[in-house]
Amino acid sequence: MRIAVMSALILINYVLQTSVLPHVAILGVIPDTALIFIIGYGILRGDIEGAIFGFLAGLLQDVFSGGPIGMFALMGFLIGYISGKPFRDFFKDNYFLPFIIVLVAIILQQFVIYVTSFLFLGYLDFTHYALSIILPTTIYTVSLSIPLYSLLHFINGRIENWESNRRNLFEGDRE
Amino acid sequence: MEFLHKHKRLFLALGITISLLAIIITITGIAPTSFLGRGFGYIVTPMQRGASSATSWISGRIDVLARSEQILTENAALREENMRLSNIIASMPHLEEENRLFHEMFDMEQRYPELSMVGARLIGQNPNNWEANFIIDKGTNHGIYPNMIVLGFGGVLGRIEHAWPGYSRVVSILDTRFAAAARNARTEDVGTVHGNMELGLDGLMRMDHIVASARFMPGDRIYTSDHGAFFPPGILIGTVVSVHASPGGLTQYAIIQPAVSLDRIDVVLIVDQLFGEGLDLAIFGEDGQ
Repeated sequence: MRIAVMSALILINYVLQTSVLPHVAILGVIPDTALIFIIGYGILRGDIEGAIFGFLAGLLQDVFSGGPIGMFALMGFLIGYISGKPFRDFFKDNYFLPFIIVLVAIILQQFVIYVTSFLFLGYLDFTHYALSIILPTTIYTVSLSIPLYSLLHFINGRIENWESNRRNLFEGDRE
Repeated sequence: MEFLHKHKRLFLALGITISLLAIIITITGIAPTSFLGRGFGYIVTPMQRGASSATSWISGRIDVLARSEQILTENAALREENMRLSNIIASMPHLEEENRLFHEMFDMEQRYPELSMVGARLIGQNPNNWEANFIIDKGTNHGIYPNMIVLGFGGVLGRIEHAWPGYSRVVSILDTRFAAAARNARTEDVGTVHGNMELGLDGLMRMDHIVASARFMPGDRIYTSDHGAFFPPGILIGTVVSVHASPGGLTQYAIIQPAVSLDRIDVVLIVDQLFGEGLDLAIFGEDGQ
């Protein structure tokens, strides 16, 4: 059940990100909603599941982008792992935490993309790219972090309830 | 999952290694990776097609409501234009003859009897804000192959970068991976037009390797040239906005305004023929075998 729902979430997010969000681009940029879900899932489910979720979401983006396959998968893997590592014991209803992690992660991710894909091609005017791509992407993504984390929190809560009921059912059978 | 929680370091090392291996494999091309796109594509592209159509429909409705006054004015102008065009059509035989003479003059018909084209719908854009490429709903099943030229309304829009059975990825003219040999129609000077990260943010491109003696002027029209690897000559790319001397002064470069706007593209035309190196690559493969 969890695998099916989370796979569907990754797919639906990708489809919306590629076909719907370009219609609501602000200053020519669209938000990285996949990153919000990766971080949210890491916080809610811990490092291992966060890393797997991040890897798969990143891989999907890799496959259809023109860059080398594995780059977004690696970033998603590490972001998911790190999000779940130290923060698992935090209060899950604290929406400020995903907000801060998304803020830091999106800036780092955009910076890594710039360095790995463009810096060595001679695009040296970092300030220009920071103001025209990184800043708008960061603001747009961060502004969606709390509503999307709430949605993920809700979905995760439903799945946990379902899993808990199922566990009780099987334990009842055993008794 | 229990095993992974017990061996977190192994899990971390494995994840990083797999990702790095995938990056190395893609960059070096030592093993095929297109099967991934084929696999995911069967699931993702039908969903993208549906979502894209729904979004276009909704944004179209919103657009109509928001621009109703403007549409009425446009409608009146179009009626007048329609009348004018009806008159022009009446004189078409004369224009057709003139067109045929021009074609003969430029030897176009001998080289390319006709550019065969097929229409496609844009179904998805790259969510990464650093790249300007998109997915269309035609692929190898429809006779579409890498390096075919993609046209928008007015000129070159990009080229097919990768084609899967039911869909393809197009690298647009604003992407840093796009390049085409180009010619100034007025001065006959040649150069290379390519996507540029910095200019692309403003919807512009750059033409490099123009000889210092060339006399480019703003407004000059830039077409694909027959020196190019992939594109047939004579297709409009854009117009010159400004001309600058390159550092060192040996060459010049020009800023180009593309003929096609990349905002809100719904449909594209693909020239389903290959030219030059594109044809060689399709026949012999990348290793020349």
